[in-house]
Amino acid sequence: MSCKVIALIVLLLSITTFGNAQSSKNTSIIKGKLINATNKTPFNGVKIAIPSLNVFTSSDGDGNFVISEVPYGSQIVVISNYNIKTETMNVVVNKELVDLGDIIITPNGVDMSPAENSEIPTITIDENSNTSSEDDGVSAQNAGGSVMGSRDPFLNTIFGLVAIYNIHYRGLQSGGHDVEVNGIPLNNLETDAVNFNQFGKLYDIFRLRDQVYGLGPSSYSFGGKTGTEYHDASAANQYAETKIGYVETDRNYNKGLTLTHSSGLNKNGWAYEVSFAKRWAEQGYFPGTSYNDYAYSAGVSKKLGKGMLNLTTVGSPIDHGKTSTATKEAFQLDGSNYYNQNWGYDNGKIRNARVEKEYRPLTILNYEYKPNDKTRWNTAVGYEFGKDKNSFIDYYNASSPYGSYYKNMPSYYLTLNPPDSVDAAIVRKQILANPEAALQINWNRLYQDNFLNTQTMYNVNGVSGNNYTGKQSEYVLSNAVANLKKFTFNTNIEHALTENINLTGGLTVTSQSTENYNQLADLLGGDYYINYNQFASQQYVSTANYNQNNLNQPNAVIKVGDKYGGDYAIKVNNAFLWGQAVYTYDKFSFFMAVNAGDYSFHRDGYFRNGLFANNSFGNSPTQNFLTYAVKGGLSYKVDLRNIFFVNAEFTATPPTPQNTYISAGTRDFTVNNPSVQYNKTLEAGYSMNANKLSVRVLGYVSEVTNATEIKRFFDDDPAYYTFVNYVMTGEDTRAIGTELSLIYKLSNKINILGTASVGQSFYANNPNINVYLDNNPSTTSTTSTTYIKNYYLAAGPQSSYVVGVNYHPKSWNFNVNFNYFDRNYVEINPNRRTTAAAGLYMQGTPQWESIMNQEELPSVFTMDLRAGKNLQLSKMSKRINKFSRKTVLNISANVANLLNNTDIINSGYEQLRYDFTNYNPAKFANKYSYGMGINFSINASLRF
Amino acid sequence: MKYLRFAFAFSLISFSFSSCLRQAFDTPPDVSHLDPNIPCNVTLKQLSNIAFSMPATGAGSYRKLGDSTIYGIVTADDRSGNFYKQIVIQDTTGGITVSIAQTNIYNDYPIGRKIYIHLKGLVIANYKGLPEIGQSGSINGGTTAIAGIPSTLEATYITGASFPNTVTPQQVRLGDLVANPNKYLNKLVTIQNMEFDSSDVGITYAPSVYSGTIAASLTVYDCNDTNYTGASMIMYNSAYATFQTAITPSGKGTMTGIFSMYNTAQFLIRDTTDIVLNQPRGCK
Repeated sequence: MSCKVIALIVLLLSITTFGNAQSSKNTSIIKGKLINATNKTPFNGVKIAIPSLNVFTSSDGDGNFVISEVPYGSQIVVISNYNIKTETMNVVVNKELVDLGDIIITPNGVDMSPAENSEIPTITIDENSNTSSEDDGVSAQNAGGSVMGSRDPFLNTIFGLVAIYNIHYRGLQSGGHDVEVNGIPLNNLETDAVNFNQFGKLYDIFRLRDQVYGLGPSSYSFGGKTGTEYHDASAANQYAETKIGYVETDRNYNKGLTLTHSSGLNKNGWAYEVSFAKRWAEQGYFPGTSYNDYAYSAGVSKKLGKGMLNLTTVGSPIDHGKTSTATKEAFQLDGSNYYNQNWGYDNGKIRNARVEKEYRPLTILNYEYKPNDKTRWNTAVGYEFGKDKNSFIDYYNASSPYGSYYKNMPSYYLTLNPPDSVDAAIVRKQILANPEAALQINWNRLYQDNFLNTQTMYNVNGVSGNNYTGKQSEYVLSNAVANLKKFTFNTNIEHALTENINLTGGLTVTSQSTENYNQLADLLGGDYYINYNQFASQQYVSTANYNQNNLNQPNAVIKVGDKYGGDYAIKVNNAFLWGQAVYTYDKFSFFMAVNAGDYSFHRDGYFRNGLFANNSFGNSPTQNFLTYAVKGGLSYKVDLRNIFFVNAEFTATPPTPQNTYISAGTRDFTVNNPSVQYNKTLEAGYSMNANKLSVRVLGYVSEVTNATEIKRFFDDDPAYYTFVNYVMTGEDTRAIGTELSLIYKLSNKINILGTASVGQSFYANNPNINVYLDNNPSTTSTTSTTYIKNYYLAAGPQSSYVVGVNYHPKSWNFNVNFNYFDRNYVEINPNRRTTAAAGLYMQGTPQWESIMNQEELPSVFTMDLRAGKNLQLSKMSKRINKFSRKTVLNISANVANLLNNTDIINSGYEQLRYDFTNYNPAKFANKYSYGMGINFSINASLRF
Repeated sequence: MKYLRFAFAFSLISFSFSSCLRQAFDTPPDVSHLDPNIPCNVTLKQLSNIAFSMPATGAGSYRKLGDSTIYGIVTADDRSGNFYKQIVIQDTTGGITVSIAQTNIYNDYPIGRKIYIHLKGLVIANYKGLPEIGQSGSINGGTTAIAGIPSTLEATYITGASFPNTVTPQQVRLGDLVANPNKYLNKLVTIQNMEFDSSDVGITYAPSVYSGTIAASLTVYDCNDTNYTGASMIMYNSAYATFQTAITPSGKGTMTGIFSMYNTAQFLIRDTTDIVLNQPRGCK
């Protein structure tokens, strides 16, 4: 990293810090210790909040808590949790440090307020990433999200809907949301995405310590564009209890079980925690999808001096059968909006061709040192490793095994020249007579075709005369494997310099390697498979060995477990240093943060590709990028209830390896002059917290400039017949919008909440587009302009409105939500907005419109219901275990989409294939993914 | 106490582990070589004769077929790409071209496989002189077009049977084909003492698709025919064939292939193993 940058950070921080060191001392630190009234032990994991300031913290393993930057005056401190009797204290703040001493807390499972009900909705983030659209070059849209619910009213309302309705925070595409556990970032270094499949099921042990929505300051990290959250999963900071949870649902899985046991901190300073979760379904909501997931965690903590040493490991072996996207025609022929092309009967049993299996355990060792009330210093090392395997049917010189392949559809006959309506009708009739036979995979046919194809492979492994004869599989089942190894070091220090100034900073060093390859999983009755590039076979015959995927082992005989196709690793190294200063005064508070680092990566090829013999094997040159970010904000407190705020950020972020290597599977060629992209974000708003009404309204604008984006797909136009890579460079996008959230307390038992989010997220210029072919060794490509300015980005519904009513008499809790989503647009194919795509059609003609227009998906109205109750079962539990303090049974149920709207289109996209012969957009029609109709879940949990 | 809770928890864990684990799929039995022995009531010769009775294009050049069944052994498929969306089958009486609207037909019906075709719903055509079965016909500007059997309907019309079977090519002279084409059309034939025309020797079997040409018509001669100039024929090679870049040999020898017609007679090979020219040239 550049020394100048570090110097700059230090300089900036020191100037601002010392410049203000003499300011008036008008804020204080409040500290205290919570003691359990029943057994006089420390009470951990309890929330302590000052509602008027919108701040909260939770007690640590020793029962201690600290709230800093509390203005002088009289403050209401609320100590509450699901398992205690709520304490409200009026604290007079008149000195630098207000020590509340030991606070005796009475456990009481009955007095539970819905806001503190940490039973998160069982709709978890991984619900929506279960759709495969890889064949179309569209990666599954995974909106940013949170591991668990939130205390922010806007997030809390919208959270449960993010996954099911494909909502994107602030119209931004994936990434930009930083999630840390015990100091280790969960974001993937290549994609910036958080893998909720691996962590989402362990919400019981993920204790949210800090959450920032937007650009505001976090004490734990510099933060992402849409926000930051910090979770504590250490054994010491878990509730000392055993919890059993059970879920019955009809969503992606049917049944779920969680077990958690935590010891709490004992007298010798030790604590341990174990948890286990399982979710399963033979068939989930969508036909042909199976679900078989496990998750576990184990942790141990030891108090060492003035700090806590924690060793924590979490892991989750998952196994999901996926559903697919399809055209309207296929959904109609099947008679269901939940048509899934991925499955078929094999020996009478349902078999899914696209199954994801993933297991990437993460182990973290961290030491959190608290020498005094003013300083917290956490240092962590983490190691995450493991494979993500996505199965698919691979085939060599064979026809697509999928029933809804476009050439099998009636509409295909209408796109012929001349159109053949007679045969279209015959094909339609045939499919409708037995949709399952026509539209699902015929596994037996794949086997029988393999049995028929006895072939001889000559000169196996390049050894002359070494021949092998056997059934050469035409169809095989393979896994696309991504083998991750990620090492992270992170240190983060927070220090309250004065009552007004809080300094935070840190250093993060990450090294990540991901090896990508195809691995043969099932020969489907054959004896072997080949390692040839079938797409090169026809075109570059004059080049010797043109069709060998790996010249280091030519003419290989591929068996189950062998790697083939491409085999390469992307190795990324990243180090960055950040610092932040937060100043808090009576009326004003402001902050400033700086981040600078270095991001570098290279490709390491393990195969020598026949077409790119000199650019595929071994290490490529390293791509190196200097990255930096600056952000700051100001808030003005008119009084304790009315706050105005404004935050801004400028960042230079590196391009992802995905968007740098044109076709990493075959060669190390990069786009021309790969460079950082720039992000500018501004947000400003107003919040009010009155007795009955709290309101927050904000506006934001976020711009990305100089981005590079590569879209890849298989083009079976005979002129191409290969994987095509569309490289867009110099792309600008903008997201602008407003968010409103309000809570109105009708009575002690009823409150009404509402959120609205209206934005525009769109392309802001006309970038250049270059087309590269996977089987074309020439580096030249055609350049054209794609006229996509002002087309919407596929960022979910760009208008969303939610109105809800909460009713919570005593231990009950009811909630009804009405949701309305609108202005959801399909993802466009940039190549359809070029002069070549319009052919000779004139602007304004219906044909021109049908090519150029972006489809807006229908608006959606749904209604959700939720009800919960918790019961204290102390008497009953005493019979089982007389030492138990108490036993709480919590039962809740929710029904989503009560009106059973089965026509909800969550997302859609234009296919990247386009009919450049007849300019007919209907030939490769848009594909869609539908949301679930009415669905439910019933949850029960027992804590003792 | 504490251990009691543990024991309870772990008994639940073991319970949940044992439920519904994924099971491996068995390989189904190989039935690709079984012959269902479906009775056939029409021979390929009879079917071809219907086609020969019709005009080679325009009105009346195709006709709907009734409820009958034929069988044949595949003699040419699309593995090399020289045949496209077509296969040729042959029984003991003759052969016929079957048009199927799909690529990679050889996945299901490779050379040597016996198939049954249920003709009801299909058409028989005289397509520019060649008997052909297809899904439907149409006439555009006086020219006949035959649509192949749609992929979705393939299993309705065609039943795969025994594999592998050998069809011995019939030994002929080029002059026989020219003199009596209807007797040999759609049949697998072998001709000895053949060679390429001197201008077609040492070139690729077909031009590259990028040249804008989709096929090559090479001239081949039968050296046994004393009337040398009268015994020549076009060998038609697709530019999409995998052997497109192979070089035509200069020698003399055996050529095997399907005798076909596209207004004029032509000779179609399956791939270059059909060409065995291991003697020195010497027609002239």
